[in-house]
Amino acid sequence: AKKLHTVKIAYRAADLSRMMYDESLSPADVVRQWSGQVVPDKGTETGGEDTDEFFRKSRGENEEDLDDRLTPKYDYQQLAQKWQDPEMIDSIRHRFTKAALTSGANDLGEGGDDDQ
Amino acid sequence: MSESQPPLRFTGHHSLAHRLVLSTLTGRAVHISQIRPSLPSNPGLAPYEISLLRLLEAVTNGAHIEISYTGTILLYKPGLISGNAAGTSVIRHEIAATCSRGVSYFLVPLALLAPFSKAPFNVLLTGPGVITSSTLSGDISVDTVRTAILPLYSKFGIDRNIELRILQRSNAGTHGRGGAGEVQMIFGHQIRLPKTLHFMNCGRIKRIRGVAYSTGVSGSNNARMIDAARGVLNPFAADTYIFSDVSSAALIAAPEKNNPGAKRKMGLGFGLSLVAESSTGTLYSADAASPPAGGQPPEDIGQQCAYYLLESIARGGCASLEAAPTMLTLMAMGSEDVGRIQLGKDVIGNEKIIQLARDLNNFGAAGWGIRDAEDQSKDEVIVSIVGRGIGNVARKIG
Repeated sequence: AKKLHTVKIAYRAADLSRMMYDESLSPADVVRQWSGQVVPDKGTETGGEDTDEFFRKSRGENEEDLDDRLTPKYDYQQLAQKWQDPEMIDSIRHRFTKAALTSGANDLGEGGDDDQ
Repeated sequence: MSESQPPLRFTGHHSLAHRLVLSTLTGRAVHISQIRPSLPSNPGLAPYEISLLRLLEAVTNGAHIEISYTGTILLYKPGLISGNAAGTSVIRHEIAATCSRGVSYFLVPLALLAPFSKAPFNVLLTGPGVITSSTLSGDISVDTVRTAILPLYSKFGIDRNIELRILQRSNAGTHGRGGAGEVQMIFGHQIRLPKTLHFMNCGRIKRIRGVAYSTGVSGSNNARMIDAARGVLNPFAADTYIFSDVSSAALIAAPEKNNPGAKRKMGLGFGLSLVAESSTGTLYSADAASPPAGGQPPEDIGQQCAYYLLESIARGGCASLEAAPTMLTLMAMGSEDVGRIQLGKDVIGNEKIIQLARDLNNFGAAGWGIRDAEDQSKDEVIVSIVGRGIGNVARKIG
């Protein structure tokens, strides 16, 4: 039955509400399954798969999840690269009231023309 | 509030602070075992967790705390949230120098308890362990608490007499431990029940505000951080303003053999806190501070913080990851009505939030309803939360 669930659409609200209170899954597993991530370094054996994942996860928890962080941990280098990419910049531009990317103070674009 | 209920059992040190808050709010005792059992150097509760327990004891009446010898088992029976009892003008809480967490670790739980208190809160956090900057262990800075967390309470009808005074700034000291800051929180608006929240439109970012702080180091660090951050953010928002706060570091006693009266400076460093505000009042925040080991130029910190802010905005929804626990908890503590909030998929799909949902469920709150947002183009979901309707047991009606 578990095999059937491997192919599914990521980020479906129904899936999350099903998994959210399933105590057999750790929160990390819920996140992983919901976002549709395939666990890396998956063993080829179907039997060994679960135990592999289990041990890998528990080790990971000991290393990094020692404290309750309020803010997530970021990789600065990756983030810098991500947000220097024009595509990424375009992707969140609609979240700002200022519609056009201005190139300077005297840009002729219609900056700030949106409803406030 | 019945005494007959057995304590709720949890294991592990995860989300300990939030579990204690929920326990205090709902009046259910908690029994937490296996707190860092396998850590060879220092098993059990960390100093800052003990400090938080002491703080909870100070603002409640009749709390009972039992900690096992090794510190790996904790039994906490909450008392009534009393706030400042009559006659005491300010509750003084000293944080020991071994504390490795920013003071927001204490402020955020405190703020969650305060609206449900009998009397107003007036708490002074002081001592050699108060770090007002953000820390590497994932705490937000005091400025972010003030500008991005406390304003959220107004959405629940809690908006009067809330003040956070930063009396002395401090960055994390050597090895990330200790500071010498001082923060006073006044939370004077007590309510019976928080208003039901319906927050489905996150609007568009209209302005970005920030605070750059330098403690005990040159103020030019501020200018350099601000310049770098603006370099990243200027293409996005025209209305960006970052305040600059330069203060001297606190002197703490450091007695030596030859010089018993010696003092040294504590908590030097700099940092930046950025908050983006949308047209509907959603707040996205980001923090970055110089690491205790040093070696990072202010330009890096400024850029870093700006990128964090973009990342937080990109996550979307009506609550940022930092604000979500506060908002979701207040919603769950609200009147017995369905409140709704739209959250980004990466916010709801976060381990901490899922753990929070489970914890709330364990404390007797109804499960969350989750459905996709109407606007399919956005990666967001709508979370419906039924309040528990217990609210403030201590406050008189009227």
